[in-house]
Formats: sequence, structure tokens, C-alpha cells
Amino acid sequence: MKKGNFENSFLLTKFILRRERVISCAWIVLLTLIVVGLVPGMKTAIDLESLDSLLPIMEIPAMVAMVGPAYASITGTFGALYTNFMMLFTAITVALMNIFLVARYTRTDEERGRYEVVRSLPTGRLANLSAVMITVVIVNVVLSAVLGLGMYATGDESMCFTGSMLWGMTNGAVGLVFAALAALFCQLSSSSRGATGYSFMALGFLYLLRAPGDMNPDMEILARISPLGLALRTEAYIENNFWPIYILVAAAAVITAAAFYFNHVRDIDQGIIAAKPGRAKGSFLMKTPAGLSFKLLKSGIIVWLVSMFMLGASYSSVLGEIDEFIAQNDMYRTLILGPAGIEFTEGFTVEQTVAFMQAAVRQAGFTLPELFSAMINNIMSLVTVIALLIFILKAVHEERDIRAELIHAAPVSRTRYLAGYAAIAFVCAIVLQFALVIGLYGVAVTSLADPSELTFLFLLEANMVYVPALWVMIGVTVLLIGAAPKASGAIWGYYAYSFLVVFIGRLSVFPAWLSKLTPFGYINELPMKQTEPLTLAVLTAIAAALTALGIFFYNRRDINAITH
Amino acid sequence: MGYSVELENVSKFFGKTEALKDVCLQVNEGEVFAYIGPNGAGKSTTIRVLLGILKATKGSAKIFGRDAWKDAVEIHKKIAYVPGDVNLWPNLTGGEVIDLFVNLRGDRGKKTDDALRNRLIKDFNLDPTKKCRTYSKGNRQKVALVAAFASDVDLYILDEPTSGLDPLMEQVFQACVMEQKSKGKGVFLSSHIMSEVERLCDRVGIIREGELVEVGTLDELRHLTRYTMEVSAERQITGLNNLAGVHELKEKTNSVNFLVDTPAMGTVVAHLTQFGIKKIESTPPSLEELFMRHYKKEGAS
Repeated sequence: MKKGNFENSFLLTKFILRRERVISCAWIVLLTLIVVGLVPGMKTAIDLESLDSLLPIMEIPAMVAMVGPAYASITGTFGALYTNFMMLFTAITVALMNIFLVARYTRTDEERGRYEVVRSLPTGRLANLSAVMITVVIVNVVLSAVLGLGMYATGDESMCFTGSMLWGMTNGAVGLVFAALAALFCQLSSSSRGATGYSFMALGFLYLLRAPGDMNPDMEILARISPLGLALRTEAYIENNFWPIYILVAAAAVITAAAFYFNHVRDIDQGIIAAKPGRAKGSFLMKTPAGLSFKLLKSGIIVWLVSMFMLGASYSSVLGEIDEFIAQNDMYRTLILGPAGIEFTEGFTVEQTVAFMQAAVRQAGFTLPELFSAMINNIMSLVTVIALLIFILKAVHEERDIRAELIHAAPVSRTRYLAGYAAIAFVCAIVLQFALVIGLYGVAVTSLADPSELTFLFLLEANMVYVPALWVMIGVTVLLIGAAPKASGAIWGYYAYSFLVVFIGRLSVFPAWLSKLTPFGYINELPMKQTEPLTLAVLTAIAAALTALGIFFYNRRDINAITH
Repeated sequence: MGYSVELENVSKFFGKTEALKDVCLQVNEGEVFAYIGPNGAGKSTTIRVLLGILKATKGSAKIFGRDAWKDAVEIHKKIAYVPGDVNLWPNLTGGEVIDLFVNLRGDRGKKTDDALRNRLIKDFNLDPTKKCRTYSKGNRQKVALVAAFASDVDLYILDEPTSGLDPLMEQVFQACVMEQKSKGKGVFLSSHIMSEVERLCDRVGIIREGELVEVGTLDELRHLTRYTMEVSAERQITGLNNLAGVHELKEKTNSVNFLVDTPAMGTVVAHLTQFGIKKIESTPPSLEELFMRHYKKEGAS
């Protein structure tokens, strides 16, 4: 690599920063507002007494698999609990921000022909990529500082200055690693879509990879391979370790170097992985508008199906030891045995407690694996929503990219077009949920000592009860697409609300009525409560009505209204 | 014979901006009609109203006598549309997109004409196995053109269809339009390429700032404007100054050069004969001049 390869990198950096300033600032400000803003809310909701009762929840294997090791129990402070609960999801959000940022100024620019113009100027061969990476460093340093200072500004005595800055730096360092990975994939793939797709897959894989490491100390190495596992090991507000930061930054540097190498050896508009020639003729899918929609969503649907199956399987793998775990966990014991039972089992050994508990739940008519898997189904249905919203919002993206009008210029009615997208999303709600059940059940059969403790039909019911709620989320989105297409992105705000209320609501920190503002609040979680067919039927009817209303408005408005 | 396109007092507002102002227009069936005007004049908006993609704020737009908004689906079975800036699905191949459009437009159950499709792909020199993201603007345009001409329809609505095509492909395009015209199919063509309009079109409509300022055959439009005359005579030509319809008179030693309004032509020529004409040259206004006159704001009459 010659010196001239980096010619004018700094000038380009200034140019990229200029184009980027609004988007990155919005990300940083919003993320900080949400992450920091939750602190006082959660603090007023949790007084110190109930804090102790929350700590055991973090030790549930499913919780560990989702948010990381139960470090909070080490110190038992509010800051520790907050890190335990929020660090991983914050880091994932930062990773997403960085992937989008890198793809936008590398592959997307290249695809749109803007990169070519930059290269025609007296700029070095690697100047654009190096400018993007300098931008990435600046953005992540700013993010670290803003987030860190924001956390410190909350003024909680358990959230010290060092820990707060470490909180910020951990996220910034994770951001650097995923920016570097995205830069690498942008060289390997020949399209922006491919590059972001590979990056998301890497993110998902690294998230799953750390789960066994977090749950089992023997597999610690898996967690240390994953940047997300390393992020957790900074233990901000607990041990305040700085060593994972060094590893993360070094990893980012190595991956960036690889990206530079591949950028240097490849041709413009090409990827290291060559694109193969496509079909000369359209398949049967190219005969109908819904076929086209399905074709456009196909790869996304497959990725989501596999992910749901894998997630189900990974949660099920802990079912084997679930009895002992619950026996040792105060909250679950109280929940299952009641105060009288606690008193009765006082002084029992773990084995005795397990035996007693199993007898108790059997008397109540269900088993411990049922209890646990039903909770997983509740939380995972919130993940399914993300996929469904992406699928249905494709209709808006098609319109924004002025491709929907091509279909409407053919003899395809508005109703047929939008209903096609809605139908795909509605069916995917069932199919994705089913993939989760298959993953859960398939592994449960092998990991449970007594497989009859968890029947397939129970799992199916515990899972499918969420489908009407998923449909309502789709219905709300269709209504937005029809009536207020420019505001259709607002559905993510509603989703974030639903997520917080249902997920964090498990800690009973919010008043109950808040959960009634989201369809998920109306679904009874098995096996403690019974399924209410009437409620599910009403939710389904609401979903259908919202969808019909959305299509009604879509028939009455201008296409391309988003661009005007 | 009826009208293929019929606009009656069509207005379209985007917020407070009036993109179309009371546009009235009739295009006969089987006619090749050119719709021209500067960028941003409202050509694409008119076309999108005709396609039922935008709803006219006021007035009525009809195609083959049916309401462009209400009967959009029925109308679209008989038309093919090519936008000026074709956005295609980056991860579909050109061949897939062509089949999609042909299939959507065609009767279900009726077999599509593969021979015609393949001939057009060959004529336009298109590689149908490439993903749309790799196509240049010209190639994306070709995909849309092949899909349009491979469909069996009665009216082609083409919005600057040849922008980005090379002169060779421009010829292929013109041949396709001529072929459809000979079959009695109508074409509604918005274009900036004057030679294309001159060769293909029966009638022309000029739109400027949302208003239709002129409609007619090329001859009729020329009638509204001035010929350039160059005359040399045996005697010094005098008295032209006093004649109505003569403009920009330039006198040289043995000849004169001036512009004349078409209706005044007879009087002027009669006046000239008395000087013993040696040579007379009259040049009709080029299309370019014609359009420039209308495109420019101050040219408004």
C-alpha cells in the first residue's frame, strides 16, 4: 500500500461528517435520552427493599442467556442491576448504529455512483474508507463521552464517575468492532444490502455465541470471543474492568486493517465474493403482486425463521437444570409455593425442595419447565414483532423508492397490493412463532429428564396465544401506511413502548394500566392463567378492522405521497 | 373514433403548490401524441394523474372514456407505462422484472408472447440475467421499454422514455413506436428530443408551469409562428417596413432578410414580385425554435 492511498482522507472525513451530523447526533441523543432517562424512572419504581427481590430474577438462566451473567448480585446496588439489565441491549443498539453508518458511506455510496465521483477526484484509493473509519472513531468517542457523562449525571451514589465513563466506553468500543466488521463485509459483498445482511448475521451470531459462555463458566471462552460477551465483562459499576476495552479496540483495528486490504485489492462495484448471474426469466412468483412482495421479502423471512428456531433451541437447552434452579430461587419459590410453602420448606435440602415443589406444581396442574418455557414465549413474541414490522413496512419503502407506482400502473388494485403485504405479515406471525416452538420443543425433548413434563400442545398454546397481539401490531402499521404514510415509522415508537412495558414490566415496576395500552397486555401468560378465547377473538377482530381501515385509506390517497 | 386520453379542467395541488392548472386535452385513439414542456412543468404529474396514481384535486381525467382514478385497474389492462426515471428492484434480474410487468398486464391464463419478448431483448441489446442494481440508467430504461412493448395493450404512456439511451437504441425505440402506430395503437409520449417528436408524433401539446399553452399538429403550430425569408431581387426592395406581419427586417446590398407571420405570407410575396425576384428562400421555424418560444417565459403569447 503506497502512501498516496490515503490522500485527502481528512478532507473527505470533514465531508462525511457534514453529511452525517444530523443522523449520528440523533442516534446519540436519542440513545442517551432513553438509556439515561430510564434510570430515574426505574429508581423511583424500585425501592431498596424490592431491589433485593429483583436480583434473583437476573440469575434465571433465560435471563442470563438474554442479558448476560448476574453480576448484579455481587454488589446488589442499583447501578449494578442497571448494568446487568441494560448493557447488552444498549451495546446492540450501538452496533446497529455503526453498521448502518459504515454501509451508508461505503457500499451505498458506491451503489449510487457517488463513490465513483469521489474516486475521480484527487483522492487516494483508500481515502474514502479511511475517512469513514475516522468518522466512526469520532462518532463512537463522542457517544462514549455523552453516554458516560449522561449516566454520571443521574447522580445515583452507586453510579460512580469511573463506572459511568466505562459504561460509555464499553458501548463505544463495541461500536468500533461492529463498524470494522461492517467495513469488512462491505468489501466482501458487492451490495449494500448484502453487506448489512452479513453484518446483522454476525451480530446475531455473536449475541448467541456469548449466551452459553455467560450461563456456564466452563464455556467462558465463548463469551470472550464475542464482542458482546467482552462488553459484559467490563462489569461497569461492579468491578470496573478496563481490560475488555483494550481487546475490543485491538480487534477493531485488526478487522479494519483486513477491510483496508480487501478494499485495496478489489475493483470498484465488485465484491470479493462474486455475484453470480441471475435468472433470465421470472419464476411463478413474478405472476402476481403478492408473489413479487414475497420474493422481495423471501431472504429476510428465511433468516428470521432460522433465527427464531435457534433462539428457541438455545433457551430450551437450559431446561434440564430448571428444577434445581427454581428451588434455589426465592422469587420463583414464593411464586410457586406461596408464603406457607416457604415456611414449610425452611431447612429443606435442594433435593427435598425440588421434590416438594414438583409435587406442589403437579397439584396446581402444571410443571416447572412449562412455567419457564411460557415466559420465554412471552418475551420472544416481542422479538417476532420486529420481523413482522420490517415485512409490512416494506410496502412503504417500495413506495418511497418509487417502485410501488410501477405496480399500480399495471392492472393491480390498491387493495390487492397492500392486502398482499398484510397477508404475508399475518401468515409470517404464525410461521415465525411456530419456528420458535419447534426450536424450543426439539431441544427440550433431549434436555429434559422427563420429556412428558412439557408437551408439544402446551408449548404450542403458550406460544400461539400471542399471535392475535402480533396481528394487532401489523394492523396498526397498515393503518399508518394507509392514513399517514410519512409517519409510518412511528410504529417503532409504539413497539418500543410495548417492549418496555411487557419486558421490564416483569419486574412489576409500572402501574398495571400501562400494559393495557399495548395488545400484549391483554394476553394471559400460561400456565398460571388460562387462555381466554374471547379476548383472542376480539384482538383478531381489531387487527382485521385496523388492516381493513388502512387499506381503505390507501385506496383514497396519492401514491408517492411520501416523496412529495 | 373516441378519445384515448381526455382531460377536463384537471388541477392538482401538492399542499399549496399548484402543479396542474385547469388542463384540458383530448387525444384521439390510435394517435401518437407528444406532450412536451420544460422540466417541472407538470408532465409527469399529468401522467400520474392519468395513471390513477395521483388523484386530481379538480376536474376529470379519462382514458378510453373511463375515469382514470376510479377505474384504474380496468384501464391499466389496456395500457403500458414507462417512467422517465426507472427505479427497479435491486435484487431482481432484468428478465424477472420484464416477466413481472408482462404477466401483471396480461390476461391471466393467456400465454405471453415469449418470441416477442426475446426479440425485443435482443433488439435492445439487454442482458436479462443481470441484477437491476448493476444496470446503468439506460439499461433500466431498456428493461421498462421491453416490458412495455412486449405487452399487448392499446395505449403506451411513455414519460421521457429515451433519456439515457444511445442513438442506436433511440432508433430501435422509434421503430417500436412506428410498429405500434401501424397497428393502430396509441402513444402518449413525453419527450425532450425534438427529432423524435418530429418523426413520430401526429399532434403536440406544450405545457408550461402547469398550464397547457398550445395543442395542435406540427403544421398548425408552425402556422402560429414566423418563417425566415431571404430574398434577392433585381431592384432594391422597399416598402416592407409598412407591411403588417413583417419583423426584424435586415437590408443588405442586393437582398433582404426578415421574419414573416405565416398568415401574412401571401401579401408579402405579392409585394415582393414587383421587384423582380431572383431568389427566394423561406425556412419554416425549426421545432427547436418553436419550443424555445414556448418554453421561455417571455415568449408567452
